Amino acid sequence: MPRPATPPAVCDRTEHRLSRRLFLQGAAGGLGLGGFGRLFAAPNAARAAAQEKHVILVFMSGGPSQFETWDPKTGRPTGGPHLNTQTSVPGLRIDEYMTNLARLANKMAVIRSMTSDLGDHMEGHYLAQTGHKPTNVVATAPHWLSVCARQKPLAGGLPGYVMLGAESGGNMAVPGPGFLGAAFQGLYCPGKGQGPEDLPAAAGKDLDAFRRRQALRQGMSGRFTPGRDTAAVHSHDAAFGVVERLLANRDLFDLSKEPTKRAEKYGPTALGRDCLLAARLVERGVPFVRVQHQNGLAWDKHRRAFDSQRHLTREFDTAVGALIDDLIDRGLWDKTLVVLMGEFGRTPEILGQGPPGRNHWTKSWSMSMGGCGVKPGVVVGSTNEDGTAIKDRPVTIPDLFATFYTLLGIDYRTELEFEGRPVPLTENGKGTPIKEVL
Amino acid sequence: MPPTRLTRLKTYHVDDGAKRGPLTMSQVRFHPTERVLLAACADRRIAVWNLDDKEATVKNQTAVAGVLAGPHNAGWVRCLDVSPDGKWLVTGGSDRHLKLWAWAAGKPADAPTRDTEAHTGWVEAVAFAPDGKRIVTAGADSAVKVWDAATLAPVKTLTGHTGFLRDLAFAPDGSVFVSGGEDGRLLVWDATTFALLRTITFGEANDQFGQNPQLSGVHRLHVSRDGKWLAAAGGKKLLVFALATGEPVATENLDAQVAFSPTDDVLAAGSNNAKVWAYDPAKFQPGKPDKTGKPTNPGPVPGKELAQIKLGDFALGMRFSANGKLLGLGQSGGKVEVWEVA
Repeated sequence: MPRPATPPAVCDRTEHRLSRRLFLQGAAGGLGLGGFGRLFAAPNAARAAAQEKHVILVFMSGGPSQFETWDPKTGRPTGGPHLNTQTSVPGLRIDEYMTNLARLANKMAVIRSMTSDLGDHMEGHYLAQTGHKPTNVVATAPHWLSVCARQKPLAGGLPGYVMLGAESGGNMAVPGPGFLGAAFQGLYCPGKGQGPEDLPAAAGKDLDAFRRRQALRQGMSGRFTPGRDTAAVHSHDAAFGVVERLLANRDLFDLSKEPTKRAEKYGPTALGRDCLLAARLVERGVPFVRVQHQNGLAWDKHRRAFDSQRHLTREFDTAVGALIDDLIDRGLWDKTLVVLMGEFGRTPEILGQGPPGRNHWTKSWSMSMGGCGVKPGVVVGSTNEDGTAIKDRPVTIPDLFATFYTLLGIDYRTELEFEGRPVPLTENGKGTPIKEVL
Repeated sequence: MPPTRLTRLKTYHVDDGAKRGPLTMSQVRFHPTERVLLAACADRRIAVWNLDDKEATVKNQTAVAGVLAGPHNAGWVRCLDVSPDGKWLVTGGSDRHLKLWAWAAGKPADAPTRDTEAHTGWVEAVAFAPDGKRIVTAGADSAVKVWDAATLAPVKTLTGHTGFLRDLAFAPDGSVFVSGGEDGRLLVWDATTFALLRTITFGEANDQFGQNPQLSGVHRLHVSRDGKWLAAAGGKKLLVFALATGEPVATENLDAQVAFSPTDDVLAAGSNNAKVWAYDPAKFQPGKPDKTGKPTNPGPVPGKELAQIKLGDFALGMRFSANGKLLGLGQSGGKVEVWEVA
């Protein structure tokens, strides 16, 4: 017997895939049943405010070498083959392949004296993005952008936190919302400038058809729920509600609407596409965006590092340089905190696992940030001649987080609550804002 | 009589005592007229050894100790060559500079005779012409440049590549030279008119702009002693081409390194695991076309395999001596192994 053609009014499988994924993310959060709406709207009108601050975190996954980024030691035995270049800040020289960031150095702050103590990728990723060390004892800590999404909720129909790309493989997933629950999970996009996966087609008739099916679903839910435990039903409906709001905002992620000239400045790479998308999202009011630089620990240059390091640095500099230029040109720089960092640095010794390369190094590493009130042109801390130790002004990850929160108008001494226990924003409430950049 | 075997002779090592990891080798050269071995390594200086010095055991390592010479001011030396008469050394570095050093008493002079900023990117490869009158360089700025060997005055800039260049080599008669790099192409240039004679596709150009060193086009190339064959090694494969036509005539799963003997029909290739053949040039053949007429891959290197040598991870640097009797193989631990070819 021939299989009947699927009638057009039957649900499209793709919208179920997306809604199922969103529903399961909520269920996995444990506390998130029924909470999806909060990803898109402020539950507490008293706390909601017009979004005034943004963050774009470009995560340099794998541990970027400070020698080949912001703290070159050219000519020293530990210096490697790269040269350095003078920046727009007198006396500050950075890697030769960061020509855009050199030009823009007078808009950014550089910290050369970061120090931490977790040299494993998983642990380092976790600490560098949650402010807490991984532990089974207390609640799973949230990504700091999930904290921002909670503390600075967005009113309206846009997602509060979007992730562009993620680290793959095993236990190196990007930290989620932790004990905050699925409401504050970043909306995941697979990278390379793409929007959320499995979004149903954009044609007007598809949206109308979706809305008719949505009305039918809601009607059926309304008849089902009286006298029953409704949390799962609300969560299920909310997942479809997310899909509906994404459909209504799907232009948000559509890079084909960007002029070619603008897109070209970011470079023809996955990172370039994602930085362009981050700029687009922020322009349209999305407050918090995380960009993953490549999938697969791109900066983890243990082996034959210098064959590929200059390519990686160059593509990073092109994309991030264009992003910063764009934010400045569009009047968003004063409201957008751009953070460029990985989970640790790399060894002064060029030993590697297959020389020449550099292994993990937590004692002294670098990062950079700018915008949103960060004092421009500042260099915090320094390392010794060979980059083997900090010379002055060590900065910890809790200090960094205290600084981020302060710049965003969040009290870094805030304590959240999990099962009646106070949970500080950084481990044990440690960390002091870096006054030099404020 | 063609060679029939290889025998390991000595290990050569260099270190200056600074705490910064081993001086990983990247290129190896034998001085053409003296018993000296040279190497570019992970340093702004080159390594120099007297081949006849004795090995000594230091910190569980038995090797001939070398010295570091020919300093650039910063970065690393990326390439070197010695003039055919043995009187001049030329080095190119990541500092963009090309330096010409007088050779005397078994080593380069303390200071260069000539020094020029040669490229806008790293100087990745350098070669003296067989008559010693010209020097050709290939840079990370995609340019091939020709220089007067006595004065380092620029003669010509050749464009045509995209991406970083990696290597270049002259045919022994000096009539042509070949450049290759990350764009996966080999360009054959007339050494007199500098016309582009031929473009040969090697492949494996990387759309991630070199993020994957296993790909990234051509790593090393060399021309056979009779000027008929061009061998190129990339991240995963070796290809031998007929230089006159650009047709591939042999292929092997060997990466990164390749060298022809200047005196015999002997070919060495591979980095982690190197192989050496006494090849039979009469049996180099392009792959037979398939039923649709499409060309297929050629077969393996024809001839007798003389040796398989395990060198370890990322062993770079491979060259025969001018008399064809020695093969130098660089390694990642700051060492060069020298093998006798007999």
